[in-house]
Amino acid sequence: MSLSQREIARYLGYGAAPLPAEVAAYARQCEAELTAAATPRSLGRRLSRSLFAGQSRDLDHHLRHCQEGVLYAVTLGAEADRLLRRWGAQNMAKAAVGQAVCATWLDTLCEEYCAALLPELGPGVYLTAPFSPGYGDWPLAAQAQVLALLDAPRRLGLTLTAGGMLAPEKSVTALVGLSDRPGEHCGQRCMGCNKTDCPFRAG
Amino acid sequence: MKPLLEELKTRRLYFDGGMGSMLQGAGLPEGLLPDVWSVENPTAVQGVHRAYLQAGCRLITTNTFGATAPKLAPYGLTPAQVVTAAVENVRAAMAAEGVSDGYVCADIGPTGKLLKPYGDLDFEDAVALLAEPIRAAQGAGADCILIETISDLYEMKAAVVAAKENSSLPIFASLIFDGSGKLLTGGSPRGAVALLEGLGVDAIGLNCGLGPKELTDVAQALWADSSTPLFFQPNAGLPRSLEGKAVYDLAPSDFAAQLAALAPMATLLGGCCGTTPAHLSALIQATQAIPLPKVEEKDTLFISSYCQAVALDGKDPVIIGERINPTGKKKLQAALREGDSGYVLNEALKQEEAGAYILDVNVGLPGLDEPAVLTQTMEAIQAVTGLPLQLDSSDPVAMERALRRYNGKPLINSVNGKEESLCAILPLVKKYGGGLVCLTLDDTGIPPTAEGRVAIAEKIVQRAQALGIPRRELLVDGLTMPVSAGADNAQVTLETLRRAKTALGVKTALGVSNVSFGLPRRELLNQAFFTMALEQGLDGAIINPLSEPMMGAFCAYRALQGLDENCQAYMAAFQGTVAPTTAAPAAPAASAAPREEQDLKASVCKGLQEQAAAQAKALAESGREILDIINHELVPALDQVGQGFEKGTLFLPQLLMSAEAAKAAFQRLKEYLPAGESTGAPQILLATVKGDIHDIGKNIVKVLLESYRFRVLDLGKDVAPEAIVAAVREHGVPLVGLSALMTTTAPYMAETIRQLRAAGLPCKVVVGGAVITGEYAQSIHADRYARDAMETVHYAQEVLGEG
Repeated sequence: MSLSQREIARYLGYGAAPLPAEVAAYARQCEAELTAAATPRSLGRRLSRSLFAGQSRDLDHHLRHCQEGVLYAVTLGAEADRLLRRWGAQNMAKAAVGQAVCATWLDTLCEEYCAALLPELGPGVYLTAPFSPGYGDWPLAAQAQVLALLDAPRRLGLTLTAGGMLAPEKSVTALVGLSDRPGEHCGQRCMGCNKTDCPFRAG
Repeated sequence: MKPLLEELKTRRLYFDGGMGSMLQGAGLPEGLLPDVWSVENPTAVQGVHRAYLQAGCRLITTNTFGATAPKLAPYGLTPAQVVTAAVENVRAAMAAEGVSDGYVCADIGPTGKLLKPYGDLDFEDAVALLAEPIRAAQGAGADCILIETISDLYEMKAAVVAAKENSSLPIFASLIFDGSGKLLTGGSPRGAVALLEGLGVDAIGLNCGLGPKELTDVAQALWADSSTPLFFQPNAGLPRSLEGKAVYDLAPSDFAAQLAALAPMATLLGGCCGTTPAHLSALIQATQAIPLPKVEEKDTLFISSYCQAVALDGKDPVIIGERINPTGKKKLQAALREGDSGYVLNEALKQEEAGAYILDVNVGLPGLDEPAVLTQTMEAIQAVTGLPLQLDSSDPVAMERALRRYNGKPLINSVNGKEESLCAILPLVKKYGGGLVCLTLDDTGIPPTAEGRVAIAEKIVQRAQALGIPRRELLVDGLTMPVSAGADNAQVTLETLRRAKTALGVKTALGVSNVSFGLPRRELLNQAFFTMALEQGLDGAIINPLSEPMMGAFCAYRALQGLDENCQAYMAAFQGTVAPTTAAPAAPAASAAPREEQDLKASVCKGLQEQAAAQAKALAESGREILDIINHELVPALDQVGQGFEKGTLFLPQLLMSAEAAKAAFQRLKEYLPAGESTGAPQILLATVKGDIHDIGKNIVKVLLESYRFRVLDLGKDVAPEAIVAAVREHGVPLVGLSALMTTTAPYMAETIRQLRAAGLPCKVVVGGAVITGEYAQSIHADRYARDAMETVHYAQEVLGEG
């Protein structure tokens, strides 16, 4: 596996500029340690959009052409959390780079998960961009329902803390809508987001 | 009816199969916790039990998989109510079927929470949570506790401890593995055997997760290591998704045929998701004639962390890193007194990279609260490394507290022949598990002869065995004495090792380097003595893994003894042909040869840590004023990098590399400052607020503040407002920095500030974090919002003066 250096750079605030050599070296080290130690896991479930109807105007709008969606979760697991702590104990610069490496890997796994859905769904079905609890006005509190529907604590070891955070830390849950409109797919990346002043916005 | 553990030895008993799907078939609505039906629809639950009894199952599991207080609270039920009703349901089903040889297994499922440090459930809270249904099961007359579908060894430890403390029933402990062959938190089958045999469970199982065929590898791994009976309860094959739900396709006959292949290893069998009475009936038909396995007592001692296990097989020795021990180490003493976990963690990681298998952890220092500090240090180390630990303390209170919370099965250093020690330590080993280092001394002191020492060892072995601690768990320490103090000293130690190994059949351990005390060129004696000890059968060598002569002796011994196939390990260590899996913490560029002409300032700007430290040392040795070096080299370099960061010409990783380099330089310079000049009360308290477990932002701020030489008191993450108020009051901290990452936890930031103000403390408060804005900071009465780490530094300079 080789993660996109461009994405890692974007997460580190470099925008479209390349990583300096020493930072790129940290990224390579982190990636090697991460892939050796971590076992990422994912799972999803096709379900009716009505399960989430009325929770969020943004989500309702996002899925306005969909009857169904696939709810999924991806986690890098507890080992990635341990490595992040380990890097933090070694050197904070490496930890910051490692954080970006984990985020990039997680994005990649989400993309791969969605890409793998398409052949199963058959021709004429398109995926919307993924939408997660905490996006727009979909409250983070929805995370509890999401994890319960996926049986995520048992099947992925993915749990929710009392403060509403996913644990392990490097985890994503999202809902993608199933649509018959090719134009729905605006891409996995962030350009569809209305937060135009976001420091991590690509390009 | 025979007690269950007796019955197990005579015939193969069968658990039942799936419960949830059977209840759904009986009309359980989706989304309703099945446990609720134990109380509200006993007829349906008893119907499932009766069907399994008819199939021939005799270990009937209560419908209590989710019966913990938080899961039941929404239904207005308590664990006691549900468990009591559930046990009665099994008894009623047995009565209705006329079954008199059945057993009630009280089902304990996972909490659904992740334990600290990965999640927010404290170990003790997990024990308390699981204790409730266990107490109820004991009270209601269950025959055993079945802890099942656990994917985290730490949670399993909490459950078994809860069971041991709240019931006298047999304990069956079952884990869920997936296709990766690892638990969800990284544990291995060997690590599971280590932990569960240490805790002394009555049977070790696998359930759920996989079908019988896919379970084979993990089952065989358990079988190879375990001295405890095994049981398997797989699913009816791997799940397939149908209309959004998991379905299991394996037909009863196929399930039975596949699981029959594992039956020769299984004392008990049963099913999990997707299995029905028909599956169990077929299974019983297919396997009841297969003889019960004969479970052999193994000789290997397994030590573990939550993710790794180390085997001491009596042949292949292991290195126990000795450096986390403050005796004679001034820097470590200071770090422990100041609560500087960074120094200790660095020592841990350096030893791991140097090839240690296990790390000794000793924090015994006069005036230090050893029970608290040993546990804190142990937990901090376990959060960053998977190496198993050797807990080293002469204080039984410190030992018990650490043993209880240790994630895995540690080595315990130590017990000795004194009655007081035997009475204090052996029961702890029995309860929590651990390989035990046995010092061959007693009330009369250290015997001068090998006979005397072996006699003490024998006494300890007998006392341990009387408590049910097997011989394989013991490592006899022959006690290394300085050869300068007696010509026979080394020989007596070596002879003690040899006899302990051959006559007593135990493992051995030794702190090696004491042999050279008082003599020049100690490494020469240490190395030779080490090799001699290995030749006499030393298993656990407590040495400094950073010493090349010692690691050389170790690697050479293993190669010469035929323990290192193709001399792989030897070559990896000394030829560098195999790259180490974990790289050194230094920046890659720092390995470039130091260039004389490059000054300290340039090294800090470029983030060259080792170079900066070396140059700082050289400048200090040259006689230049330390404060002058700081003010005219370090600070301008940091300012220059900080300005670049603020202008956007360089970015966070480079800023942090420079901060780390400045910190390394300053650490070196500190040694030249008069004692006390660089220490003092903390100036800035940092914490991530309650509920928030993400702390990288706070840690970034910390390293930057420290590079500017501010003294930081780091309370960590998920810190309650009360704890912050108490610490500010105790230390009189003038500036508090709070971080919150999520909208759900930001309210605790507001609450913390409210409490600080209500307490009338004069501190300033600076806040930051992903969701925090200037307006929000104002609305919660923070003194300042800092967008990034540099802004925090500027504010600290404003409040406290230059660092």
